[in-house]
Amino acid sequence: MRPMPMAAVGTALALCAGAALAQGTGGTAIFVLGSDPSGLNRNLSTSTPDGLVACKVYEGLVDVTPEGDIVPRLAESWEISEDGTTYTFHLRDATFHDGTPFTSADVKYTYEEISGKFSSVFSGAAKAIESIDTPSPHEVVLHLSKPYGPLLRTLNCTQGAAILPKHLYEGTDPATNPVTTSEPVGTGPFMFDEWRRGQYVKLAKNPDYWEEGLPYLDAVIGQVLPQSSSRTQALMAGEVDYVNFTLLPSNDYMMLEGNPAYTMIPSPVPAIDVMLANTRNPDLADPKVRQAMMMAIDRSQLLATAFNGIGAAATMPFTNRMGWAADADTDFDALYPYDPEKANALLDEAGRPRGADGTRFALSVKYFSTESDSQLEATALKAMLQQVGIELVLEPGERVSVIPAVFTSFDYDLALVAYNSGGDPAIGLTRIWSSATEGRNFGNPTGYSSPEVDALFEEGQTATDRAVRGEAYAAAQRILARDLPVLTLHERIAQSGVSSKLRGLEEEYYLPSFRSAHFAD
Amino acid sequence: MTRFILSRLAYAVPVVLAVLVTNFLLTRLVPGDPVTALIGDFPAPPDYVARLRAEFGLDDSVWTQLRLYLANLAQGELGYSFFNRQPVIALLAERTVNTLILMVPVLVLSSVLGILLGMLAAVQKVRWIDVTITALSLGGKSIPIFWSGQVLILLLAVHFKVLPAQGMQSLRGVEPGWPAFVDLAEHWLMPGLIATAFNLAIVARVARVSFKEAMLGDYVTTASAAGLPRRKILFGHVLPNALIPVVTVIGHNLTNLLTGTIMVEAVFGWPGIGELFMSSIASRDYPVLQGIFLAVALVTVLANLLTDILYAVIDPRVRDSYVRA
Repeated sequence: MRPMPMAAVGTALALCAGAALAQGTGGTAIFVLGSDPSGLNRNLSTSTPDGLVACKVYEGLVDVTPEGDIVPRLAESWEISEDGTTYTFHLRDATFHDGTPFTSADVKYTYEEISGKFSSVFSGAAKAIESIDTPSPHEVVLHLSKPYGPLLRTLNCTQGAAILPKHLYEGTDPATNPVTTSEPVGTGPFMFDEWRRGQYVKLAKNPDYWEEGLPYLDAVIGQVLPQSSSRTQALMAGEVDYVNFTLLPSNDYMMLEGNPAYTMIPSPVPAIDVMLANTRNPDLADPKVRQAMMMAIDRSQLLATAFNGIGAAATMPFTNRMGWAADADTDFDALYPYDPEKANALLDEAGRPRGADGTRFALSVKYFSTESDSQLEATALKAMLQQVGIELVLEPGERVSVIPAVFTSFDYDLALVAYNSGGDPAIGLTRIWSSATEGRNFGNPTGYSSPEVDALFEEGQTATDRAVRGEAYAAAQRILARDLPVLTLHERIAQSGVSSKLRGLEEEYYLPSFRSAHFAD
Repeated sequence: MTRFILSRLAYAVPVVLAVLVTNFLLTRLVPGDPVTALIGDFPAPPDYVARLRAEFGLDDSVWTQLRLYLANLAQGELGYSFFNRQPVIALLAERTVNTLILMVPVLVLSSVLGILLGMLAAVQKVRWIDVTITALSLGGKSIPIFWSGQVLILLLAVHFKVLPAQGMQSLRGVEPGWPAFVDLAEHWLMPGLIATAFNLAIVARVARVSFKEAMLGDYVTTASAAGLPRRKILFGHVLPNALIPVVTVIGHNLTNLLTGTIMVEAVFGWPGIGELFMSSIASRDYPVLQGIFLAVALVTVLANLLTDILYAVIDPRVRDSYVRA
């Protein structure tokens, strides 16, 4: 058995110490919801509104810090066997909001019956977990069929592993159970209070929270503000205190940046903007065509015009911001420098000469009409690709119509989509290229399938040593940079906007629990 | 009169039915998959997706879905929202109340003020008053709400912080009773006045023309010659004669009671039925959309009926024709 990583112990101690210090307590913090949640169970949906509420009411066995360290929550400590296939968790004394004690049976039930069957972000872990033992109410043992690198990182609320009350779910349909649809019962720092649809979801302080002294706030309220412009206005008018990075339009950053009344917190999870190429289309089947397109796209110019200069031009298929999984040898600037002349030559070489009107062929590009970034991006790409004789036809559409067209019926040529990494390639990035996710929403719609890449992804997922994992991902990226079924164009650095009066959110992950949030005096 | 109302209501049944069937087919012809809105942005397990599809009846043919919908509707059952997982009727009830809180004062204010301003523009002799009223009413109708609304928010809520920017109530502890009412009124002020300006514009313009015409009637000359005071002529003789076209316009405003404020609700975050309509389109929440279509069709039919009844109240000739019919 291996002890818990020292970094995790250190962070845990620091957090406990923080809790013991006197803080300004009380008050009501208001955060923004982009729409009503569809339900209040993160394990059934990855929609942001559902998670923003659910991850204050529910907790996982562990949580993740913005730096990527694992900190204990419902599990007090854990041990991992030498071969990386047995995880033993020692659980905390905690109770659900209805007074029922939390036990290892809740963990087993949640992972086997709900997260394992319904959660899309948990599915990697679900496949790796072979069986779950509950030797005592305070101990749970996960047996893996083979090691799964990101397992610990997956066992938190954001990743669809919030521990649910078995006694309220057993024997019911989890999708229609009232605990999912209207009255969640968790162990988290805040308890469900009231939901007025279209207006707000109100959560009250959990007075019996397992960590003494927390939470500091009396209540947190999620206010539904569907219009993106009204979110910034509400923050500036002092009506809301927190706008999650998924909800704050990047064009509004400059209104908030540099103003002492607001703090901008960068998203802890790297994300990338990609152009998916449907390789089933004869025009896009030849890698040379895709390589030529990459050379025709001025990625620095794209950063400036489409993304307001926020983030960075992409240099590799994954992202530079996930250092250990980045590949030092892959650099798009060296492989595919912006060079329309060379791109033209490559297209000629690929046997795609210009027609009489100067056009080689036309491609449609689909994107979500609600994303203002994508609209600018598509317009810029149209101008850039025109220089090499490729005519882009812009096809903006609603999410509900673009998603099935691209991901399930593959009825597209090019598509602009942003992918969230989930903090680990195995969670959020490999799905874009893996053969296993074809036909699923936000999986791999390009028709590209490489046994070599699949094998490297498998190695990256099952190794427990980060260096070994990193090397596998680096090798995979060298192949993907050559084959280019997906053109990674931009690295996102999204920002959350927070009122400067509200503190304690800097140490939280993607969907903050607000457990140590407090107002400054 | 009762027979007239009953026969008009009977005519309304096929109209409402046609609206529902047409919209049912239209919403399903538009590409889009309600399940995508529910499962989020990660590749979901295929079993789960299939299960949701079966639960929503999306595997059935459109005709089977339509038949089931109409059969349920005949029993007064509006169905269950895919996205909100709530009975449609409960969702509609709450949002309708919110929209009425916004719109009832708007319609009363815009009707009364519109008639008074139109009358003022028509009867007084000072030209600049007429021009000012005409210009204002044209502006109210033609300045886009998403622009004027944003400007008002930036000015009054963000810069001067005198009015709230969003929503219909403050979420940070307001005492119930009088303070809650004042809070609601403060939230109403910006969206309410903008919607009033929009609705008032057309009433004032029609009223102005209608009053100008009525003023030329022989009975006005006769009444003046008989020495009746001007106020009596205006309110006793001109007003009833000029009202018919104005009532038509007010009736038209009334048909927009539920959906006429989509833009206002969007800009000011007012949680009304317009906002529910927009979000339900985005998530392809068919049962909710059908519920809204039903509500809007009913309001339109009733508003038109009410307008006809008002004609009869105002004009004895119309009343007689109803009785004869």
